[in-house]
Formats: sequence, structure tokens, C-alpha cells
Amino acid sequence: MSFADAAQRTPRAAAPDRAAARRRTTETVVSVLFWAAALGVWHLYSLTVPAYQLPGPAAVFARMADFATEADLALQLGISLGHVAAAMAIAFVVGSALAVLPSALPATRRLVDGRLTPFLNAFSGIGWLFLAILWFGINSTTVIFAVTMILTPFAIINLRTGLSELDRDLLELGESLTRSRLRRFLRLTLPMLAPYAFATLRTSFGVAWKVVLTAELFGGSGGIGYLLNTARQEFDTETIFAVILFILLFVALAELVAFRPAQRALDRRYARG
Amino acid sequence: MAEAPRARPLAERAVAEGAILLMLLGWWLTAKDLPDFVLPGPLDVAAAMGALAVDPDLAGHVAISFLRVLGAVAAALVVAVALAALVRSGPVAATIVERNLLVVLNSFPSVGWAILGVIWFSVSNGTVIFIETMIVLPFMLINAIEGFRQIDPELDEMGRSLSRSRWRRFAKLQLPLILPFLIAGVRISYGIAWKIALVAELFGASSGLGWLLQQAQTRADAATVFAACLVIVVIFALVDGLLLRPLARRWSINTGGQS
Repeated sequence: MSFADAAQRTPRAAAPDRAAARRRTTETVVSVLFWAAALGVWHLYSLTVPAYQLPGPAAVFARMADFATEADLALQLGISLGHVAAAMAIAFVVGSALAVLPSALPATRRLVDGRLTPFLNAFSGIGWLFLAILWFGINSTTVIFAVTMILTPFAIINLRTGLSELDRDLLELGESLTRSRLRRFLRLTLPMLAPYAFATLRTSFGVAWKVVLTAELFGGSGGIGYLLNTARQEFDTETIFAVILFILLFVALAELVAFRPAQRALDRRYARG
Repeated sequence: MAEAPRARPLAERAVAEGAILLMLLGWWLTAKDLPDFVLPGPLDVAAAMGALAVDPDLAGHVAISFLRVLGAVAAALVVAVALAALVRSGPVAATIVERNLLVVLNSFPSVGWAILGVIWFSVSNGTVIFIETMIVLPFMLINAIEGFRQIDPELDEMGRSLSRSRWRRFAKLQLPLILPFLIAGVRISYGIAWKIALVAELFGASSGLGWLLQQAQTRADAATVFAACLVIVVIFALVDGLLLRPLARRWSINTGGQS
């Protein structure tokens, strides 16, 4: 189950289209007004405190514009994206393997559900980070390792839930249709797991962005977190704000253009009844 | 792949404990030939853990981290319930909280809060709690909103016919109904606080387990790094197993679907 998406999904429109359209207009107007008000408050408040504590919106936007035209930001963002993608991929593969293991070998159920998953789930991400620094030094391996270890329990838990919620009747039906285990797995189990696999990726993506900057700041030699560290040491608050805003935009955009439409397509495909 | 028929409990137990023993043995054998700053043996780590439990200085770091995490989870709970109750008050508040605030909180990098917290409030316990609260808030908020959404509107209506006092309706009717969601939120937030929000102590404090981890890493004292990690696992498991999980079971609305 993905706790990151539950609240953001639009409730299925039951009302006629016109009511839905009106609601959407209200939402847009309220959102725009909210942001305008937030910017106004930010601007006024920033006049009363020193710039190193809270730079005004104009200064931050100017810095963002500087960044957008420089190649460096794109490069660092690319490095961070690479870290996130690698960690998500490894965590997904490891998590799937561990989640499927008890189904394939029932004797390992207690090991996976009762020992490994709780242990990995309770292990501090900051702890993995410092262990990784000791083991691998300051480089991308450290960053990817630390993020992977944080994501793995999320992947195991999501996919285990998926496996245990599989529709028993359908599986039984499958058994009466073909003897081939592989065929049943490919044709039945995999498609039924798709929503959980998707929820895994969506949760992982959100968590990965939250922690990758920490990992890069302490254990990385490149990426947005590294950039943030330099800015922090120079008390360059404008850059810190600019970087955070870029991350917010990037993650919100990914959610909007990639995850939410995909979720809607999945919901339609898997809607029951 | 159907959940295969349940293996005999004895076999499961043997595999589980056997694998743990094998891992410990593997750790011991690997650590024997490696220098201590790369991989300390299980005995060194156990000794370091003992020191964390006994040495008053070190135990103080554990205690202060624990208190900060509790403070942050409690603060996040109060703020999340207040915001989620606001969502119910009308479409304007709902749009602001759900479509804007939550999205921002949810994608805000945790280290961003840590850096900003220190810049704004300098180094103090309050700063650490502020940072940890902001990091766990979105997780709590999602659960609280979901909880309010599940309240049966007819029950709400009935409540209105029974009492005019908003506070009474909240305390007697809505709160018990959203408790299962809140406890799920508390469980998730408590975990996130130990796993991710500990970053607050790397910036905003000179005490606590996070600070201890960083100090140990700069001294290449791997045994203490290991020990601190395992102490966190133990604290997490104790509170989750002895307090949060029983509470979740007790308050679940028999379906108890939330993890």
C-alpha cells in the first residue's frame, strides 16, 4: 500500500461533468490565490529579516533563472536522478526477490516476514549512510547503497501485501486452465501484482528524493545534495532556496505528468465491477 | 503464484533462526580478517552496545534522541489532525491543504528542512524537534485526511442531531472513528523519525544518536556506528511491538486493513 498517494488521488467523479468542471475551476482559482498570498507574505516577511535567513522571492527566482541557464545544475540534477534511478531499480529487484521467496519456499516465510523485513524496516537510513561511508568512501556507490537500503523494506512490504491479496479464485481458475507454473505466473500473477508494483515505485520515488540529498550531502561527490552542501557552507541561502524549489518543482512535476496519469490508467484497468 | 500451503512451523522456525545464526557466523568469519574500522566483529559491536546502555554519557544520547522523536511525533500528530479537520470544513480549505500544502510537504527534501531549521532557529532541542516534525508531517497528514474521509456522513449527521458542541462531536464521535488511521500514521511517522528524520541531529544538535553516529564515523569507530544502528533497531522494535502494534490492534475497526 502506498501511503504517499492515497490522499492525492482525485475522488472518482460521480457527479455530472458540469459540476466536476466547476469544482476544478474553484480548485484552480483557490490554488492560484493561495500561492499569490504565500508569495506576498514571503516577500513582506523577507523585508524584515536579514537576507541570509530568508531571502526574498525575487532574489530566489533570479538565482533559479541563473541556474536554469547554467549547464551545471542540469548536470548535478542528472547525477542525482541517476542515483535515484539506480537505487530504485536495485531495491525493486532485491525487494521482489525477498517478497517472492516465501511463496516459492514456504519454509522461509518466518525468516522473511518475521526476521529480515522487520530488521530492514527498523534500520536507520542515517546508519546505512555512515556505514556506507566507512565501507565505500565518498562516492556514488555510497549514495546508491544508502538509498537502496532505505527503499528495500518499502518494496518488500508493498509486494508482500500484493502477493497475499491475490485473488484466490482467479488463481484456482488458472490452475484448471493450464498446468504450466510459468504460464500461470506470467499471465495471472504478474498482471495482478501490477498495481502493487506501481505503488512500490511511486512510494520509492517519493522517499528516494527525500533522502538522496542527505546521502549526497554527506557521502557524495556530486549531485544536488553536494551543491546544497557548498551553498550551506557559504551561507548562500538564496542558492539553498533555489535548489529546494527546483526539487519541489521536479518532484511535483513527475507526480503530475508521470505517476498520477499512470495511476488513473491502472485504476481504470483494475476497477472491479 | 498462490500462497503455497503453510510449511510446518518447526521447519519455518529452524530456517529462520538457522539463517540468522549463519549470518552471524558469516559476519564473525568475515570480520576476523578485516581491520576493525571496516568491519568490527559481533563481539566488539555487542560490547559497544553494552556501553551505549550502561555508560551514562552514551545512554544520555540515546535518551535525548528518543525524547526528541516522541516530541516530533506528538507535534506532527496535533498539527496533522488540525489540518485534516480543516480539510472537512469546506472546499477552499480542502484545496489549500490537500492540493497545495500536502504536495509541497510531501516533496520537500528532508535535508532542506535540516539546513533551513538551523539557519532560522540556530542549534537547539527545539530546532531538532521542528525539523523532525516537518519531515514526518506529510506521512501523518495523509493518514489523518484519509481517516476523516472514511467517516460515514450519516454518522456525522446523527452526531449533529445529538450535540451542538463541535468539540464534543469531535471528541466523542470523530476521534474514535479516525483513531485507527491516526495510529497507523503514528507507526509510520515513528519509523520515519528514526530512519530519516535523525538527519536533524547531524545539523541541529551536538547530542543524540545521530550526532553520535557522525562522530563515530569521523573517528572511523565502526563498532560504535554499528552499535548505534542496532540500538535504534531495538528501540524501534520495542516501542512498535509493545505499544504501537497492540494499540493498532485494539483500535482497529475489525477490518484493520491499514498496515
